[in-house]
Amino acid sequence: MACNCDLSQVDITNPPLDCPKVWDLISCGDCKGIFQLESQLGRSLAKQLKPENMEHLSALISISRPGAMESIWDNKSATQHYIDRKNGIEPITYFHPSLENALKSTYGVICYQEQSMKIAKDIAGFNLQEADNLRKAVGKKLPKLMSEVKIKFLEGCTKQKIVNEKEAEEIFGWIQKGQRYLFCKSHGVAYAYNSYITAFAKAHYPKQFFTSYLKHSHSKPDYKEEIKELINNMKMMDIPVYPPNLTLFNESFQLIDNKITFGLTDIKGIGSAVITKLKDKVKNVEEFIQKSIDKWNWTDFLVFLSAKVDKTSVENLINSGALDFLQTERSQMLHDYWIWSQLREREQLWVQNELLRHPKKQFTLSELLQYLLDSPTGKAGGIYHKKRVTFVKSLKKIVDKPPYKIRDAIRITAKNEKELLGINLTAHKLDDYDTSLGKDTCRDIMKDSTGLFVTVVAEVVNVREHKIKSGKAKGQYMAFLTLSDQTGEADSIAVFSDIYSQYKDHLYEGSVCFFEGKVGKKGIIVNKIISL
Amino acid sequence: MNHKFYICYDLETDSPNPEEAHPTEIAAVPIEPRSLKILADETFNVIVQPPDLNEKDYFENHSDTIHWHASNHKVEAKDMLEKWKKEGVEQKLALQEFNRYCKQFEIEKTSQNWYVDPIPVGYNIIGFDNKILQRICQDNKVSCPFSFVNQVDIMHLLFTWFENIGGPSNFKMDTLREFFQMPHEGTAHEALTDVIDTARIFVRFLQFQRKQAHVKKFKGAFNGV
Repeated sequence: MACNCDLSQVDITNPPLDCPKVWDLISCGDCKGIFQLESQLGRSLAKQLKPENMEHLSALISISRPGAMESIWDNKSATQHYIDRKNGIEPITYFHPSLENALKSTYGVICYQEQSMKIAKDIAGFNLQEADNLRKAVGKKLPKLMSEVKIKFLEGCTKQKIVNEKEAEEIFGWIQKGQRYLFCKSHGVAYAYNSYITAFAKAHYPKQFFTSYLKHSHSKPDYKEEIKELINNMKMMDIPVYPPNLTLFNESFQLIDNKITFGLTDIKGIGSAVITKLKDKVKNVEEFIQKSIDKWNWTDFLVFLSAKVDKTSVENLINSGALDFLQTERSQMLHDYWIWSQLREREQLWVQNELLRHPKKQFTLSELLQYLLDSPTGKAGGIYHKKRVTFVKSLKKIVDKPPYKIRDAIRITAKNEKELLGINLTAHKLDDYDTSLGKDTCRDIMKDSTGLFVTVVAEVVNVREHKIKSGKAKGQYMAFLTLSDQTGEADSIAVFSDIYSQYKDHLYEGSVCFFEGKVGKKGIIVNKIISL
Repeated sequence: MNHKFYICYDLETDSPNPEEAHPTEIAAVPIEPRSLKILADETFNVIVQPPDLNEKDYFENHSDTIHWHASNHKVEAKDMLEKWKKEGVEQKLALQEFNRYCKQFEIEKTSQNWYVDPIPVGYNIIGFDNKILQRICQDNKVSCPFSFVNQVDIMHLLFTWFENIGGPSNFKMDTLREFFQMPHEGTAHEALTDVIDTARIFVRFLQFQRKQAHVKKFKGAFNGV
């Protein structure tokens, strides 16, 4: 939904609290990076509740906790009661009319410690100190204080005569049960405010938002997973991430020319120390050949720099796309690099000198090897020993007539990117498959835009088995899947036991299948699987 | 469920003795494991120089084999030797290239896939090609592209299918081509032609086996026996 925020006038630490774009973002469950709502539970409850203001958001944060979800009455948790009452699915009722004053803002569901204080004040005549004792007993779970407060509460109710003894007992019983989950409202509101600010930043400054989160992903225990989740979220929002680029030399994720670019140290096997050394070496080569790196071609990199860097780093730079600026296919670069690595230092130096003598000419690797072969053998030439001549001739034969087609196969590019970057950026396994069987994508599933029936072709990323503990299928196994395609990842894909037992062998990490299912309350329920 | 690529490969050699033979040609073609599609545009083919090719008595010592190759290629024996010298690459480089090629077909290592290398398939590879490959990889200190945890020898596979029903008079490739009436392009006993024909036989039998094989037929088959 559009909004009327004039961002030039907005203070990000104090944004307008009624931006429809922000509330939409939270309500559709797009909560990655949003304070307190990032978890699957937070996302799911945000989607169900659809908060429209800070009151709702504060309550959402307060009741998205195990205690609230385990507090059951009338076969529903306190959380679900709140959600259903807010959405008009359940009527708003109060155990006693005297409670309306305290509980109106939360649709009759007690969410905050402060509400228990208000109730005690309203019906038991507690003063502020006594009410605070009640809050302490509830908040800190102090049984001795609780029993003292209970006696005072019941006595107070008797004096006030607003509720009878039985009603007073019952009301106190809830307050007592509520100690499991009642949240401090000031805490809840403060959290809600932070959530709103992060959501505002995400809604209005998405590139800066994601760049910041990506840059600080290393603070998370599983930072690779964090990067993957963030990038998948960005795909949902049509925000591209660009592969690493050696010319930019950004160690971590950075917004450069309005493009979010992968950090070089986020490539597997390439750390800060490697990049620091590489920077120096690149600078030396730039001075040596009088060309800045952004003007290099592949031969410049190969001949003047590749031998100065360790093999793993060069290969990882190639396979991650960091050298794509050299306008040569990755497989070709790897092959040429391997050929070049077979030459001895003396031979490489000879070739370098030839290149320096003709700075404006573009040489192919075959021409460079021929030049080497044409040079005198021995001390005066490039190749020192006669035996090496046969070897270099063999190298040239391989370059001129490679034994196999050297080209970037999607399968290999996708595999390498997944291994080195943790996520596919320029190629996905599914690019090799006919996905026209499925009308939906993983993004459609996550955005709930599939319609009642879903068909999708996707790669299985994760299979989580679950043993059924009750019901007709007790003891059997079902599974929850995470699927991936070019548009992102989708979770909450359930395969019930009858289907799972049939297709179990097709469901493993890396398998590509066609899935057919229907939309359930909490995700997709699969009823047919075809392995592709 | 197999999801490892098959690599159907063949070595043309300068001797019929696997303990001494050196390859003069390596050819390979990959087979996609689920669809069993022969990836004919991703073949591997290289002429290899045996290490002793330039020795004076090489021709004498390998005369029979050289003549055999020459007749298959419809050239003179001396021309065959010249071809190896002119087009052949050093053995170690050829092996390294073959290694790099096979690595492309490794699958992702996951909790279910510990051995990621492709599965070698070929005609008489257990008795011949695998032995040579392992030996020369060791000699050249190049890692072998296959772990051999799984391997499929077409000669053995066909033996088990035909062993009591008659069929081909022997299990030589030429006999099999005739028996199956295989149309083929290229010259018989050119490594790439042989490899593609072998791959086609393998795929056909594997497709047939997949139709016949159901877990229910095997699970508990010995129960109560």
